Amino acid sequence: MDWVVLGAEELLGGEARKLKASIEETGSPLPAFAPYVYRVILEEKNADKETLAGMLAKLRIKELTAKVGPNESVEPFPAEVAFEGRFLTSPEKKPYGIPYEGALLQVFLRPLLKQAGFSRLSSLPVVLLPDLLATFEPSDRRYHLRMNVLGFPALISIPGIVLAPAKPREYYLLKRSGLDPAGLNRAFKALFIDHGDSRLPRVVAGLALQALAYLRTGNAFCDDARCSLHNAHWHHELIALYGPDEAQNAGLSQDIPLCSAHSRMVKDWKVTP
Amino acid sequence: MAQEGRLFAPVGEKEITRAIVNTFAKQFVEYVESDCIIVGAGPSGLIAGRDLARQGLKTLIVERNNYLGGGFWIGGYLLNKVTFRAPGEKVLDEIGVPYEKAQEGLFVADGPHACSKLIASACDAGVKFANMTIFDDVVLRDNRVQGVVVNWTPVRALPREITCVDPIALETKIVVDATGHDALVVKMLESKGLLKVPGHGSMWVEASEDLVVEHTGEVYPGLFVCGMSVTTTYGIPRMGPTFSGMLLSGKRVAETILESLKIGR
Repeated sequence: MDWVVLGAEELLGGEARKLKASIEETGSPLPAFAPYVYRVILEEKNADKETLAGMLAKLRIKELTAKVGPNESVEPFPAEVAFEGRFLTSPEKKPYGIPYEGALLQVFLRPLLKQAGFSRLSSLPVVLLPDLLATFEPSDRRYHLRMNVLGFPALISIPGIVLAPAKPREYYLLKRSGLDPAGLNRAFKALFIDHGDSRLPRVVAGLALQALAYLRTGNAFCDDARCSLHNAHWHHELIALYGPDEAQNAGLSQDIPLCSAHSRMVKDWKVTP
Repeated sequence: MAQEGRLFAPVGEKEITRAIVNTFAKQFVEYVESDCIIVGAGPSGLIAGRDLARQGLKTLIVERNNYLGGGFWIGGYLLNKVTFRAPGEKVLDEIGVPYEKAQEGLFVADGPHACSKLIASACDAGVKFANMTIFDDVVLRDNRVQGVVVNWTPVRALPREITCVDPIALETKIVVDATGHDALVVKMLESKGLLKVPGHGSMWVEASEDLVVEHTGEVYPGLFVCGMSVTTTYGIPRMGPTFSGMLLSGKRVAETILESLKIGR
């Protein structure tokens, strides 16, 4: 099975090569790389810009604690559609902060990507996005930000890597007290993965492998917290996996840690495509 | 002219009263019809008014308080230093407010200095103000906002039995909601079933300022939103005690209005 990562150049810039090197180092089959998802869709003429922008605007979640998701029958404001339209082909410039309904986005993208030649059996798309993604959690009846949404297509939120996993509890307590966020981020710099962090491409690589594992085995996650397929909910888990930022700045490693079972599994994928 | 031995001119109470009433009435009559009415004299409303008036638009700002400037006097937590993330300092340069660099990309100015300069700058540009005037309703005609209904602020503060005072209407081409998180004008349209307003999200400075500027603009025919009202209108995160987003949103709304009226481009 082939797999394709869409949007790495746009969203990781020069760091996209690290993503490739990291995946390569695991012995997994290498993905192909394609442009940002809406560029592909528009190029294939699967939809026009205005339709895409209008649909995306409908998938905004206005309040994470809401008990219900976006109401697709409610027409978005023209300014919301215009906003989506402006950044449809320039994701690198899109301001983040609005969460989108991850499961509905997947449903929305699925037929468009199928028309563009992707399929669950022959060419799995892993879509990198500049947006926050959230999915509804029935246990506490509210939305939660996610780093990725598994399935076809697999979605990975780049700002979600910074914002979805929990930072230390003290961070949120101090933030609530009204401390300057920039100062707070500086004070906790060593304790979370921020935008521009050198570990980001490796985290993306780990999430992409989760997506591939899910499609091939029906199970994306590993119980071993030392494996990149572990479903991390905290930044300290990611940091334990990928090491300190400084080490990566020095270019010491492109390694994606995998437990022995999953290390064997991804290598086997090359043998049994 | 002062009488000999007296410092001030010999003007009595009745002349002073006439001067107040006549000049107020003259201006009020003139602004019963205008090009643009901005509701809210906070930083985004003030900068928007300034930029519109500088392009020759007859601009009136309605403010419910006696004082103008909204939250721009205070930077947060009652401390009167106001912060700006780059490129907001360029607006300070434009209106002549001194500031210092706190760190790369972050600037600090004195709240009173920044706020008073901004008010003066709007006045110098030709903006007129109706302060102590509260927004009551919109004038809606042909599915377009074409004015506002206003009343004196104190009328709201007294028991209805005493102050059963009807409001009055002012007509205009464009109304701007710059009322902050309250988004009073937008919510008035919501109460009429014309819009659905989600309310603002949690405070999130890093994300909010870009989103506010990017969503600034027309929300209903004839009604534009800028500043904090944008966060309430679109349900995006609200800003913390930093002002670049509000200034740039005010400038953006002025540009959009001028574009829509085909002025200055």
